[in-house]
Amino acid sequence: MQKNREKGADQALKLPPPHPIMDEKDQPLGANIGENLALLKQKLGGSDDVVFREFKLDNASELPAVVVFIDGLTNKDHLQRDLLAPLMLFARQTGHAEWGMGRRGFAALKNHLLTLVEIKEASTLRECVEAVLAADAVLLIHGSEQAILLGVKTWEHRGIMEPTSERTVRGPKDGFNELFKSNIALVRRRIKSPYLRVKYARIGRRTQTDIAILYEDNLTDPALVAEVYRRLQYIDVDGILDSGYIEQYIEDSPYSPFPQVQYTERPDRVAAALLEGRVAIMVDGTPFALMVPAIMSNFLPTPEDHYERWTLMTGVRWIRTISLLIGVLLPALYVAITTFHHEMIPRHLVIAIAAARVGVPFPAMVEALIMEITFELLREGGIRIPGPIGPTIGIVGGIIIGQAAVTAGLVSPIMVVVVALTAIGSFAVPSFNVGLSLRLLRFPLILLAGAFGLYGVVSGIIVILMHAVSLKSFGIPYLSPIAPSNLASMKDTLVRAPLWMLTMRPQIFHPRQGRRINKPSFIQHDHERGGRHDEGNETD
Amino acid sequence: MTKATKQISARQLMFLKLTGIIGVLFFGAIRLVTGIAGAQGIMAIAGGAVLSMLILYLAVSVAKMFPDHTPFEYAKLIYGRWLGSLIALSLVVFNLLIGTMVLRDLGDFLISAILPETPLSANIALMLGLVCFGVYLGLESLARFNEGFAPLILLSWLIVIVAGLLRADFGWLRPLLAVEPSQLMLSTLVSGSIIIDGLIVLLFFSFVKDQGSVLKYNTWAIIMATVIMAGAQVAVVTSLSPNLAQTVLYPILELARNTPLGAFLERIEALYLAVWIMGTFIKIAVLFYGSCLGLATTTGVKNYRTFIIPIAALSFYFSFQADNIVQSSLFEAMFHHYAPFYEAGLLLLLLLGGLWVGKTGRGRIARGT
Amino acid sequence: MVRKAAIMLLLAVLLILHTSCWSSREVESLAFVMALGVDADENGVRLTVQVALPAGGAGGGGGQGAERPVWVTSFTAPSLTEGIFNMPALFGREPFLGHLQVVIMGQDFAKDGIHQLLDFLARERQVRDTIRLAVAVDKAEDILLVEPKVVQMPADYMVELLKQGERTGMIPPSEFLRTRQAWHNRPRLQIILPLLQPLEETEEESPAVAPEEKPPAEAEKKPEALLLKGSAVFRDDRLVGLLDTTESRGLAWLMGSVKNTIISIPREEGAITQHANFASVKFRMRKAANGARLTAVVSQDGNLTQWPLREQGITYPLLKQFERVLVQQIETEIRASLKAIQEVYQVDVIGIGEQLRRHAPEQFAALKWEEAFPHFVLALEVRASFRRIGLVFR
Repeated sequence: MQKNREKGADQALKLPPPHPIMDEKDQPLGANIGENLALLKQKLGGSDDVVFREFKLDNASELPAVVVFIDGLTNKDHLQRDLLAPLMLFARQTGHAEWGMGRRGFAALKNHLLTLVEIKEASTLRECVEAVLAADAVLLIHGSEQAILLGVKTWEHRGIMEPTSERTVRGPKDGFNELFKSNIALVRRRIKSPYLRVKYARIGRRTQTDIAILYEDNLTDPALVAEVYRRLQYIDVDGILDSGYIEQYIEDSPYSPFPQVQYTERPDRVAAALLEGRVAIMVDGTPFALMVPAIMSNFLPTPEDHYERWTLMTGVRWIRTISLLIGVLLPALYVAITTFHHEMIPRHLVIAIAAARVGVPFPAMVEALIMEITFELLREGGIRIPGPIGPTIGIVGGIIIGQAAVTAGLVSPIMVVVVALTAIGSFAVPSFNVGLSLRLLRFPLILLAGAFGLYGVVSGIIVILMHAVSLKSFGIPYLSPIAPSNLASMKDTLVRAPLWMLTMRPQIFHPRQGRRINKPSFIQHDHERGGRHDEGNETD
Repeated sequence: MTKATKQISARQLMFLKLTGIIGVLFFGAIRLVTGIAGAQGIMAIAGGAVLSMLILYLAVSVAKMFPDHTPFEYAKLIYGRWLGSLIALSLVVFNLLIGTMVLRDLGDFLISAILPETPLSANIALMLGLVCFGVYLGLESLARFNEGFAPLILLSWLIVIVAGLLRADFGWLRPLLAVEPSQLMLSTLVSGSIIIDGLIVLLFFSFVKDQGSVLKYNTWAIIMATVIMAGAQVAVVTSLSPNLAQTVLYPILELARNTPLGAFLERIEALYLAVWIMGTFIKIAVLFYGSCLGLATTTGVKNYRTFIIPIAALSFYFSFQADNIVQSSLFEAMFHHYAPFYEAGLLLLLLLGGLWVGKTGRGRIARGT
Repeated sequence: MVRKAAIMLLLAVLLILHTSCWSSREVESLAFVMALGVDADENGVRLTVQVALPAGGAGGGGGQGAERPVWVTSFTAPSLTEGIFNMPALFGREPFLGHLQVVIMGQDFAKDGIHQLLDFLARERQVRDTIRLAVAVDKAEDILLVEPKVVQMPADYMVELLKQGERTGMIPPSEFLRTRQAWHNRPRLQIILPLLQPLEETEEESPAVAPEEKPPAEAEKKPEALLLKGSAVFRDDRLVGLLDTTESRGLAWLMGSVKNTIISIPREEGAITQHANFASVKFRMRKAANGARLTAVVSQDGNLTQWPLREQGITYPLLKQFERVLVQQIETEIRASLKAIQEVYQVDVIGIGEQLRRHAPEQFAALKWEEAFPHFVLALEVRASFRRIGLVFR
């Protein structure tokens, strides 16, 4: 890694070689179209959606040709207009009647007849098969040992919509969709830097899923990029259906409850990550892009944190931190305090709690477990339930948790308050996966609280935090910049300092260029010049 | 274990030392000092700070001679295989002893203060389990965890002390400077032993990345710990009265119980305890990490983790050797009378040996240059 | 890794199954003792406890205000500790003393010695040093039976009463911490505690209610309020004497516990009344004829609440003159109380010896304080002033 750091990122990197799509040995194309076609048909002819359109060129010798493509993945209009029409109708008119399939003829075909934008040449069978499967069309002409790959990809897809899982009040509303290239384009549109690198790769033996690795070349730590490449190279699986597959293959500690790779469906978020010197991984067929490294302080902010003014967002951050603590600790603390430390509860409240718990058949610990499990059931059920009857589960759950359980004497009303607060607290954490993992940590904490009181809760916290501090995401300590502490980076962690104060990129990601602001803001500038800013206001 | 990996920063070492002192201050330390010096404990604590700075300076001087080796290794380099192993083992036992004492203290404390019916063995076993996990994860994780939590521990102490001082009657400190020299010396020794807090700096110097600032940072650690300890002592003496402070088993607990924060946060001492237990965990884990490391170095085993379970089992066994809390308190008091002599003696031994070895040229081999 | 996880899980489950009966107590399985009364009895001690009833707090108090929030019961036991540990058998629940607020001692019990009680309270982990102690003029049981009208919870009422009384100086400070400090810093347990008495039932029956209509249950009279009756003075862990409220205030000036009191000085033309809302005491060594002497500097100020002269308006000299009267009054109060504790009871309840030790250790060491105390002359320096005169400038 050290060596890579010194060299530029580009030289050090080797793209993961795509997995061969065919098991047999590759073979070169011949000049005879009949043989080539037979080979192709042997490979692809088993599927009915593969179209073999044979035709004759509009020239003197009426060379036979064939175009192979998959129905539904290619744009037939393009093929008709830009391939078949010129070759079948206009070759003579444009003065290319006499050519054969020699070198000149081939060049003429490319340079004068095919009006398609994206053309590649291929000389082996494998390339042709791969191209057809990747939604290109392949043109074979008798007498030529080269096939022409025609970029006419098109398929049905969703439009660009507002991201459903990361909503913001303020900020861009576009989100990724399942279309790989348009996703990259969404990011590209935001970062017009020539240094933005987009590197393609293909992973998955059978699915041949396109992935792209995005980073800012003169910004991101080259060692980090190299490490991303290295880990991607180790993936050998038949299919990648979502970026979640990639995440689980490249994360540092698969046994940890904490996510170490961040996902998002917001292009602005990816852009922000790239500008911090992180690496993004896009996967075809999913709206979720991955960002690495991902540490705890990446999961707690929302994109809005930087769009709204800093005073508000600092407060909101603190509220979010408190809600996180509530989401993890409240039920355990409730159990610990009501069964071990009764003196901590104010005396009128303790009597009220005792009165509320009279007749409840379970110990507080079991009560808490029952209610928390019920809540998790409701949450899970609420997600799976079909859309139109979704609200029903809310009502049913609300009544069950809120009232019927209390009336039936199963639980005490104060437990309902605790569970409700916990639920709200854990959903206030912006990242769903962090919220989920933290919610699962509640259960061991409740058990420990039931056995040892606050001592147990503290033990649980020690275990969780010791694990978290030993965790790393791509070599970056998970709890930085708190532990190990980095005061400069805390400006955007504990508080959200005014944007013009965030002169440095977070040092925890080792960016190659530390500064992101080179000039003082006008406020700082005026302040140094002796407060012209204020005077201006007065004379107005 | 050829070369210690540089895995912590000098600041992290400072926090480790700080937590090691203030993380266990709530057991009996203040009672011990107040019991000898009475209301004038603050003088003893100041003296103790000076004493511990001397020891710190000595420790850093020794450690600087072998920046890439743990004391277990250079004890061997200096004094040969057998004598060196003996010295290393004494250090291991010393760590184990402090750790076990703290463990027992914690168990007794939990039972006396918050968990009256939970067996001592359960309390100790839970803490030992945590410690094993911590030692398993290693010094780097411990240092990071502590770095995040030391400010919280510091804050909780400040809250307790300030809340205590708000209710204080400073008249209890009078008559000023009225303490007999012999008592003062004894209490200085004891508070010095509390502030020296083992030989963490010596043990982990070779793990530090920026070794040049170790002395500076750890001086700060001693200053902060001294301020906290002196503040706590004054708060206890002035808000409880000197005689009561040496009568109650856990003066700091008493202080926390008697100082409400505002009108409604009046019984929250369990929350302070929760924070302090984390400090206790760090302290024991760091000491046991040192012990495991020492054993591994001495026996030539590659991985220190081999010794986690034996060390835990030993300390579990030893923590039950005291009959009752009176005996364990007595032992602790005795320990604090003698510990500084051991520490100073060991450091001098290593320093002189190191200088001699340096002269005869074997030091250069040791430094690997 | 999987094996390790399995072992951890097994351990955790074992722990939980094993530990359900250790220190944990469900909150509804506890009897929250709010107040404790201790009386002497021929068979040992008679304990009276006020236990909070969960039902009282739960209803919100809206509808059934008549229901008592506590249950008061008494029982006899051979000794204090046995009594306390017999409580579970009596209640069917475990007593919880963490919310204990007041401990009342009957006078007879106090006369027999309170060391055992204090030691129990100090040693018990649940009991806090912020609880308040008081002595009943007669029996503690009668005090605990109080059914206050303004405050619902009787223990709260008692605490508030003791706090307010302490601020006015009618009773000495009652916090247990203060008692503990005195206990450990002075020999022979010389302490002072407040004295309480139930408000006696006035016999004026309303004529509208015929005697036979009264239900028999109400014949068992329960006091509706408590009266502050001054202080009880202890020496060698026994109650040795009582002080009334004025004498108590005399001591309270010296203890610095007065915060808010009314001083009324009757004069021919009418009473001068001051509402003192600041008072402090400082002990100093002041030069006197034969060396330095311990001086208590009591300073107070407050508002004039009643101007005695009908014809004459307020003038500065007149106000000053009245201040001197005020000073005299306070001095007289203090002197009278000092006389009571020095000569009659010979108890250094305000820690004069401690003050002397703080300010003149040699002088203190030279004295045999036990013997010297009754004759010790404490110099007094009282500063009193009318800072404000209310809203009328006349």
